[in-house]
Amino acid sequence: MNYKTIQSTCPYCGCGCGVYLEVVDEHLVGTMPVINHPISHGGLCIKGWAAHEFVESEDRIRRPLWKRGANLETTDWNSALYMVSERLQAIKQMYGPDSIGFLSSAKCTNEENYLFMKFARSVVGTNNLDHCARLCHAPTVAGLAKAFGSGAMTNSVPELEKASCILITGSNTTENHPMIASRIIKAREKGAFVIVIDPRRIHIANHSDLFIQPRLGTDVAWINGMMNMIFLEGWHNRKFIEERTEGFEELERVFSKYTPEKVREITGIEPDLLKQAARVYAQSPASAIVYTMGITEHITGTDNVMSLANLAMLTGQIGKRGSGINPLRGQNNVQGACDMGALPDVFTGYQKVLDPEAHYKFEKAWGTNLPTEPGLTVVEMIDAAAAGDLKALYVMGENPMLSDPDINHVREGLSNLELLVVQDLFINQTAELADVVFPAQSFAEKAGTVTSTDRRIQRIRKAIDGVGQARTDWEIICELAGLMGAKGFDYKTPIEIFEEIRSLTPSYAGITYSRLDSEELQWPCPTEDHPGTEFLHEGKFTRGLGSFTPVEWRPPAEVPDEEYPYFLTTGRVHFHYHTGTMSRRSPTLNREMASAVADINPLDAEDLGISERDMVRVSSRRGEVKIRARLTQTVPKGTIFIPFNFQESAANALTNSDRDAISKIPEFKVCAVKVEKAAARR
Amino acid sequence: MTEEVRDNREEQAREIAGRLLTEGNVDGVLALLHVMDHVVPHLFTSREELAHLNISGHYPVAGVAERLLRRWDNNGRIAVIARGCDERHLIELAKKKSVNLDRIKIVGLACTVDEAKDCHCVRPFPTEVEVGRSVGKVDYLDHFALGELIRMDIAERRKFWTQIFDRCIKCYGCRNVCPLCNCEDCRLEEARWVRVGEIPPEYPSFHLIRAVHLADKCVGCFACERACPMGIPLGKLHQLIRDYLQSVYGYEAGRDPDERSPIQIDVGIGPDVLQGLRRGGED
Repeated sequence: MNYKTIQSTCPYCGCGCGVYLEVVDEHLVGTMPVINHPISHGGLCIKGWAAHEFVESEDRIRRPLWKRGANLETTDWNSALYMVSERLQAIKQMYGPDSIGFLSSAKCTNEENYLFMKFARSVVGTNNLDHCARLCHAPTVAGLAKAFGSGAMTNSVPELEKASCILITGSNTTENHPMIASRIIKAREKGAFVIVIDPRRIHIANHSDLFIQPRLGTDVAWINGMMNMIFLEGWHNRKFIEERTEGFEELERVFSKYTPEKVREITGIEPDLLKQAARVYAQSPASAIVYTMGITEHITGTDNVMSLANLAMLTGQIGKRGSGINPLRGQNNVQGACDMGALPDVFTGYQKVLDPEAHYKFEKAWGTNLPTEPGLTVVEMIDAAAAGDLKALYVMGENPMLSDPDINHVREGLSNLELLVVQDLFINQTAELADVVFPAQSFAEKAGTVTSTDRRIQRIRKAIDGVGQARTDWEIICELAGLMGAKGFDYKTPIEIFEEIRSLTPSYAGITYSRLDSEELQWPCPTEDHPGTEFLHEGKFTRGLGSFTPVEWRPPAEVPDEEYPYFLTTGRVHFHYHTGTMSRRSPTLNREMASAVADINPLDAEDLGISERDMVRVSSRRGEVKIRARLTQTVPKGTIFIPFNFQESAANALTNSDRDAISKIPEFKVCAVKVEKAAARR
Repeated sequence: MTEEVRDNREEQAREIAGRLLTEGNVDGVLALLHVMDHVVPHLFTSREELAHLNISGHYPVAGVAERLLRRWDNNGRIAVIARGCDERHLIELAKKKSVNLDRIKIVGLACTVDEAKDCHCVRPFPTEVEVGRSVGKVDYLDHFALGELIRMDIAERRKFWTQIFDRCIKCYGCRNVCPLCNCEDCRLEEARWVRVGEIPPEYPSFHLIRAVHLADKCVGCFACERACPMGIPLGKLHQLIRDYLQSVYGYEAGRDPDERSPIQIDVGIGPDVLQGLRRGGED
């Protein structure tokens, strides 16, 4: 008889909530909230409460698999590892290291992302390394880095309670970052003015003081319009602009063109409403912006992010407690995966591959020659595979067959590879196409660190032994590196890996496992006596002066026309997580929502002769899905919403892979579709 | 002064737990364990672990006890270091036939004044105190907030509760944290009572089902209110119902395993039965 509770960090979204995993006789039986946790305060959302449910699922891959004929068959570890090591070396020899690509994972630990990065760069010798951050906050990393010198959430989650105005845009906060929404609700109870600007009337709009509904894909226009109003009314912060920024004159030349009438024409926003938002945001003692994919997943993603940065700097609403720009990160460790350099152009801590000093530092530390040019991004790797330039792809804990835009194109690319290696908990849609599948361990079976949305480094701890023959991701990488003759992969514990990370990463240098046991640490934390950083850019931006970048509004890549008369916008639902590999194996979550629905405005439904729960066919230039209709005022007339969590009605069969020129993020949030009633239900 | 009492209680608890483990009439002692800077529920099975036994934390351990004993079927007997509210939970669970009190040795732990204040408690002690000293009956209810809720007229109440329940993100935290909300088939999860897959959940069915089901069971521990991420005053809602039962029937849940509830809320009656009854009536 044995009952224990192990403290860990929730494996779902980027909030970073504290969980206790309940273990009875070496099985996970429950999850409980950590009462004094700085983020979750003794609460959790439905996903957090169910965090243990997928871990021991019958569907877990329990043995390595490889493709024999058309089927995946079980094999043993030695054979599978040997086969991958041989094939990778042969492909590298024949086509060069850049014929191989790596997709890292925002679900894996910092230690594992670091090792995967080290493996790709030092063992294989390529910078073709990326992960799903490309599909969510790549514009944030690019845009905020350009404006401030650092692309992360500027404030902390608990600080939101200290804000006097919170502007939420493009974030369905209650559904996707529930424990951050909790802070916003509490901030409002304490008197904060909450503004929601979103094309959909989302749940948190009901709990706001001002809700504004712009047309899809018009963010740059309303932000420019807001800045114009602020400037004309004299609500801007002259002192801040003079002392802490550069490039204001050019900014003014651009935003001054966005008169209230012009903005109304583009966005549909009434000038009075926008002016109210502008006044409260500019004049509150501490205003915070909260945003997510509604801002980033556009061909103008980086423009949108830079526009928000412009707005914050114009009003001096940044670099103060409770005031700044807060991109909420999606995955439990997407911040960490970026910090660890699982990106094609940077090492850990955003040290640039192109920076000779950084390059030399990592070559010296790892004792190898490293590639000098930045590599391919996620979507570019798929394109390269389809074109026959990429021959092998190693996917650790990702599912591009559901998460990437234009799935039919992804399938074409993956099928064209000579070698597809997948390392995962479950046979997902990507693993079905794999040549080799390594069974990996979940968050509950291993130790390590993850970095949540507010730059907070937290530990996950082993609660139970690995399921079947599954191994931790870091052990698999080490074994493979060893087989390929690489030195420097003989770690015994995640602590040893973490020590190497902090020796190479100034922003993590002061963080140790033992400090994490008793302290809350947020990077940058440069030394062991440094308390970590609650909010960024106090007194000075990371890059010195904040940089204004004037931006003109451009329409989305694809807008409705006669053939495809509706806007489609995609996103997530509260009860599931991303491609559903974990959440759809959770009985609690599946009971709430077993299949997808498409949200349709009742006025459109009437035009189309569609009733509640009818099956409809939604099609775009790239594909079609059949899905049940839900009639709701959440979406405006003319816009359909489909979540991307469900493979059987995959929104990404429809989406457009046109992408932002700077950050390469695809435009998941806007494309054109047509909608028809499907054959009657039996 | 308070610190002295606290330290003493911990020693007392360790000593009693050690004795129980040695004498061998329990398989384990369910209490709180201090790890790093956290306190977690834990089943102590050896004397060596007891150095880290802690009493300062605040988890509804009765629910853990119930789940453990159910999982181990009819084997095993455990001791529970139980505060007043934990004991009252166990008594209500016994009334529901969810636990057999013969399989549980309750080691009564008295709360300090500060702990009682934190929990808005009125009875911060179990029937028999073995650890600490009872501070006696107190009244730390938030009478101001309760008064505000009760003074509203019907229209104001409807507006207040509609708005505040609209915050709900259906995390089920109120249910999950409550030791007495332990039905295997939970009505809140059934689409015929509450539409699934939507937030906020339907008003008022979701919250009223829970309020009614717990009307004669809630012992006023306020764990639901603390677990609610959206700041819904669930504990106060239940307190108002408790006050009503107390004033009309003199009934208080959790007092005595043999005391019967004055109201019959059979949560076992499902829609099938109801439908059957209705059909019977039509025939």
